[in-house]
Amino acid sequence: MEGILDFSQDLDVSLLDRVVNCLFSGGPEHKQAQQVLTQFQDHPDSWQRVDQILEKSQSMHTKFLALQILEKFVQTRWKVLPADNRNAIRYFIVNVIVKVSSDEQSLIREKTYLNKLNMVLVQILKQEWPQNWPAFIPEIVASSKTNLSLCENNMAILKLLSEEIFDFSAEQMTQQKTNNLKNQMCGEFSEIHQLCREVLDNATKPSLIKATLQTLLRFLNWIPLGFIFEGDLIDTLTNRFLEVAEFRNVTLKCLTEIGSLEIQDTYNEKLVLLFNMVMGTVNTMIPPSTDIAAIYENSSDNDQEFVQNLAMFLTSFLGAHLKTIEQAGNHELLINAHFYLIKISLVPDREIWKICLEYWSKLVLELYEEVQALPIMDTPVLNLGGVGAPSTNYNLRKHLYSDILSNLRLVMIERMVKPEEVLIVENDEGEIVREFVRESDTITLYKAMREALVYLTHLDVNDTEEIMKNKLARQMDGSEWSWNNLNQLCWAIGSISGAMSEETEKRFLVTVIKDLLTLTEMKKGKDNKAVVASNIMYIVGQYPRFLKAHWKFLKTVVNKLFEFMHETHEGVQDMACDTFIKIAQKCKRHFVLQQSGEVMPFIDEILNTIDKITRDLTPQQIHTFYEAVGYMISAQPVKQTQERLIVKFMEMPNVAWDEIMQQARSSVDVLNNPENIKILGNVLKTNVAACSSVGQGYFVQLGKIYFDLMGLYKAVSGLVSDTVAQQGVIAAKTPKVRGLRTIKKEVLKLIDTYVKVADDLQAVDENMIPPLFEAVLSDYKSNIDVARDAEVLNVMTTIVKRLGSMLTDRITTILDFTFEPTLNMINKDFSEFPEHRVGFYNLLREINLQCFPALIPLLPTPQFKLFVDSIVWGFKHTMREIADIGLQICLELLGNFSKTDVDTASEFYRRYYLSILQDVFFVLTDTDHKSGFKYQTDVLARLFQLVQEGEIHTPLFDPSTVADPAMSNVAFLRDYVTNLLRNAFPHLQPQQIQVFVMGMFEYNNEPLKFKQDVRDFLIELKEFAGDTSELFLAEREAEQELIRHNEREKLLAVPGLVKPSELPDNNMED
Amino acid sequence: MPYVFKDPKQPVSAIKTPSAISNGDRDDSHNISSLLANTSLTPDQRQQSVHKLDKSPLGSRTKAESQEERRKKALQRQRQSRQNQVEYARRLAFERISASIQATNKDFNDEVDQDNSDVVDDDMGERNPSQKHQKRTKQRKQQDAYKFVLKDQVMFAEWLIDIPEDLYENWCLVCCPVGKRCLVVSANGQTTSRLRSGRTMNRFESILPAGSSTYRGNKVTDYCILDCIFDPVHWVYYVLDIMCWKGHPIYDCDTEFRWVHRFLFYWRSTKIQPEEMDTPTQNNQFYKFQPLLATSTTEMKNVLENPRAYMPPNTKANFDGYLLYSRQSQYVIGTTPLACWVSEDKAQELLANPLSIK
Repeated sequence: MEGILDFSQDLDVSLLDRVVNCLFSGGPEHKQAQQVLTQFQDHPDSWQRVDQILEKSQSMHTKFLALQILEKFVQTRWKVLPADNRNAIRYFIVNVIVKVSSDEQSLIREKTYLNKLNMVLVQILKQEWPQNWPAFIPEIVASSKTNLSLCENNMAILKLLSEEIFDFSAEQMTQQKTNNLKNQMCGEFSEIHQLCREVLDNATKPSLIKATLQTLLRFLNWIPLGFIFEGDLIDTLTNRFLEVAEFRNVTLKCLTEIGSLEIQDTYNEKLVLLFNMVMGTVNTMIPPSTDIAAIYENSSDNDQEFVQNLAMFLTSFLGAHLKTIEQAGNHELLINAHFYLIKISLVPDREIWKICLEYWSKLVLELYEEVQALPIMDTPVLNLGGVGAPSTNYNLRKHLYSDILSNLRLVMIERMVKPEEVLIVENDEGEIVREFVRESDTITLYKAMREALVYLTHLDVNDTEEIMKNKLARQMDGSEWSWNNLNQLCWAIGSISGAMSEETEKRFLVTVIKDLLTLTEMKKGKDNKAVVASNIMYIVGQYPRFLKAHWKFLKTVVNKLFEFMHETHEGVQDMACDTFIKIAQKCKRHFVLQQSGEVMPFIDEILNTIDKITRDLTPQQIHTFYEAVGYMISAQPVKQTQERLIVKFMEMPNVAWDEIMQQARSSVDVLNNPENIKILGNVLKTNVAACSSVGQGYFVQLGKIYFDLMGLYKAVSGLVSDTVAQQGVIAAKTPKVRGLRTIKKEVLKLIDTYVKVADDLQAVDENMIPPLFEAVLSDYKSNIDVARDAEVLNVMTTIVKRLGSMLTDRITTILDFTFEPTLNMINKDFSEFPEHRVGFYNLLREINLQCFPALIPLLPTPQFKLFVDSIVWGFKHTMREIADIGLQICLELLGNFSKTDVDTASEFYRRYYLSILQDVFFVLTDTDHKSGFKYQTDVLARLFQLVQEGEIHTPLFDPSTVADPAMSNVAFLRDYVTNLLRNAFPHLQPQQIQVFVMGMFEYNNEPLKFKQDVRDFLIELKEFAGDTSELFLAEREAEQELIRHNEREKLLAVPGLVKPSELPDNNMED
Repeated sequence: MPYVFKDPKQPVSAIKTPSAISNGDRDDSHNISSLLANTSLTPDQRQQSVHKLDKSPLGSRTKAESQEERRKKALQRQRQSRQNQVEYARRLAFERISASIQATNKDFNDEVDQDNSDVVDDDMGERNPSQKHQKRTKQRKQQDAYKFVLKDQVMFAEWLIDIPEDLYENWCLVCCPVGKRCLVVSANGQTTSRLRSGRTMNRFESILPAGSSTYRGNKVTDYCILDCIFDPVHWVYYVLDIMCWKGHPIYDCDTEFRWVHRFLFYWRSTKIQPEEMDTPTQNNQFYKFQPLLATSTTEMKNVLENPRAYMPPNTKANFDGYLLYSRQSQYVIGTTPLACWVSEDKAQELLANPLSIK
């Protein structure tokens, strides 16, 4: 096998074939084949073998491999070759392509091979065209006229070329090159256009026509508009191809593309005509009475694709030109088109639904905004009166669409998706617990649908109500009864909370709930009853406004939930706890005030019977329950009363706690009992849950148990260390030690939670910190790696964050115990101990932000060097989270030092400026660290800025080592960086480096330009042959963040759009 | 042009609903309060319905829907395709995918799902084919569209009944070990294997990209979907097919080039390129992954004589049977006649003398 690696001889192609065959067919020699082929591929001269392989090989696999080798070569080392060689390869490839594609049989048979050849050709074109191959376009057009198969393949080539230049260029070519190529292509397009028209007008070979249409599709988004609109291209497409089964999909896509172009008003008439023609054809192909959704499942793939394309066409066309079509006057056509879209919206395919939903959302928003824009006095009162209310006085667009909207309401309900998602995971103790999923496709879809439904409700409250009631009636009479249908209806009802006026909402809800209660009675079997009951609870949980206005009902709901908490039927208890916490959060004040007709605030009733209520719940459910009650208690404004409540609240867990603590005082062995360990773990988790919702008032409870907490922590730490010392590292995995560590973690979590909400930081500082540090820090240091808890780092970070400068004098202590031990855990590789890693960097960051003065005295010490080293280590991580934090710390550190006195700053720059600079260049130019681009460039820009603005008052260089000791930092930096880059990248032209360096000096004040300068340089380095999308990550994220922010602003403006649970708390409105 | 057509939603004729006349605030809410207070879940004596775990929306919601997250990634990829379908073609160097993906929301129906009974189940080779005999009714054709349902996400073979005419030209052979057929998905730092029913078999960490918490690359986008056979005795997953690798789906390519890609990926990955797989640590090496290899049907004779030699080296599991794949088929989700199963005992009978059948 090794024979193929001997590059001094001619290649034995048949041997290569055999080797490749070994690779793919298993057998004993497989592994060896693999190694040999790898070496072959990696050999720098392997590209020279490609022509022989393509000519002589009998195996498709081999040829494919050869083309990959060639493709990579063209992308990375093309420019190294002299012109003759380049031409030779060019001619060779062209010849192979011509040979294979001229014959119809081989065109079909070798389709994939041909595609790969085309790709290689296009890569060559990107390098050679137009400078070295000016006649390419005329050549390819001419050759197309000689042979139909050849023409077909040429179309594919043109398509690929177009994609490379117009669709993918941003991330693979420098700006300048991209612009050049675009201009070239546009300039020479007319010849290509002619060829395409000839084919479309005259050809009969279906595969050729199809290839041409597909190529045309690629062209449409960049060719000058005249080619599209002046002339009869649109007519040809609609009349000649749209109704032909084989071409209709690609033709419709072309028309969609045309319809989504931005054209100002110039071609409006043509667009209207286009729309008319297409809809005419559609009405013929799919008669209006067709139930598209029903036949979709069993349709052919071609048909299914057509439906999706039709959805795309309608939504993008109407999305862009709705007003134009409205103004054109043919309203029947408009409604017809929308009804098609309604039908398509019912097709059971999520992707298609999302396409439709995007448009519907746009439409309802527009119509709603039109109503909002009416002068206030004249705004029709939407709640009273029948359908023919004053709103018809106004020529509102929404009236045109009223039937459509009515149907749309129904569609929304029937397609509603689940609002929340739960994941089952295993926790540290090996228990199966529930976790709420934060982001998912379904949740995003739900949010979009909710928004649309809210607008639809505003547009016509009566109709919405009517439709929902009818759907409910059909559940009652059984005609549409099913769990899924009922769920969807109730999710829909729940989603429009707040959109109606309070009066309307009340009447609506009363009807709905009453019906659902009746339904519960009607249904037989626990399964069914449980489903209906859950839906009732879901709905009431969504309408806190109603609950707050009707105390008796609220009380009944909560009592019923308590009942459900004893129900063994699967899922009911979870549902009850979820609803309970939701209601507790939103209606909390109502539970701490004494309501009329009651003898005490309801909270007292709850606290009196809390043990009974929670008797049948699992630990996790109990924690949820406690968190819920905590919210209520947090709403008690009178401090004394609140304290009393908290005392009562924590009675039960405290009893369990005290009992074990008592026993432990006499014998530490108590903590070896697994049952006790479990109880303590749960008690602590209960405390954490309560603390998180009660807030600052929790202090009274914490104060009670704090002393024991510290004692417990110490005792457990001792146990863990002993066990590990006796049994070795493996002990850390045993259930017992894991349970003990849970106790430690929960203690830390509790303190962390409290410090986050504490008001009296002075008290925290004086009372809590000293025993905490004593119990926790030295244990952390003296422990073995695997037994250290990352939570220690987290709680330290929180303390630093909140106490800020109060803590400056103790920073050294913290660092002494945590810095080096943790650093040693994470500096061996980039992945072990991920939680400690994150905790470590968060802590460093916070220290630098809050207590920077503590670091200054460390500047001359080796500890500080370690500090900087660990920051640099941070940004060498490929894991994005860590790298970003590392870079941010660096940036902030630079900022901090720039504000100190000249001496301190100068010492810092002298010691560390150049090494940081070097390290940043390293990660910047390394392909593995692409995702850190944003912050890397930020740091780099700052470094240049410091020098440029003269903020560095000491030479960065050693004057004895340079020719001109009086040289400025600017000059030095320029030379230094230039040399650095030249040595690292010898294959670059000096000019490229010069431009780059100049750019860095010039643009360090303008982030966008600076980034572009760097980006161009990196592309030139050709190190980013693959996916360069991460270079644009920051922009995309910023864009998304902006969109999210704007959306939130918008949502807050419309009643009902923000979920009740997400509304900012307004205590006044209670 | 007659655009008139029926309103798809006929107005509903009035159905009597038992809604009470409103007598003002207090009455209403009092009414429903007492109604609510009297509501109970206890069924009447007649019917004790057996609770089906999988069917309850309250219970199974969690297990079934957790897949949504992973599907999101695949769907996201496809959604991008409609805005940027070019990227697909680009990445795959093939014709554009024009398929639509379905993610149905059918989980909570109380209808019983019909099983396809002529299909080889998770445990290959267990069912007696004669009980499940069914004529091959589907035409063999290339399919563009494919469906994602919670169940049946792998390409299931039919029992071999008729020998394909182009057996030697267009088919290839995979020797399969005994084990459970499953779908393996690695995403978000976790690897999950699922049985055909949709039920999760196992969750663990692995060296597949995005398959463990220590994966250095992008856990969100580098997800992988593999079709595997799991050997529970030796804790090995045998990889039959790769449908998606590091975020790139390759369902729609025909077998030939799917396997070209598969083997190129595999090949690159076993070079232990840092950017392909994860670095092996304690946590992610428990379950091993081994690709199964395809052999040309021209080697049939050799293979029949010694099938073990054509399984990966060091395979400890026993040999179970042969899977025949049509080279031209794309990866089809669900049952298809484009893949055929021949168990060991039937192999001699069916394959050794293919001309004698028919």
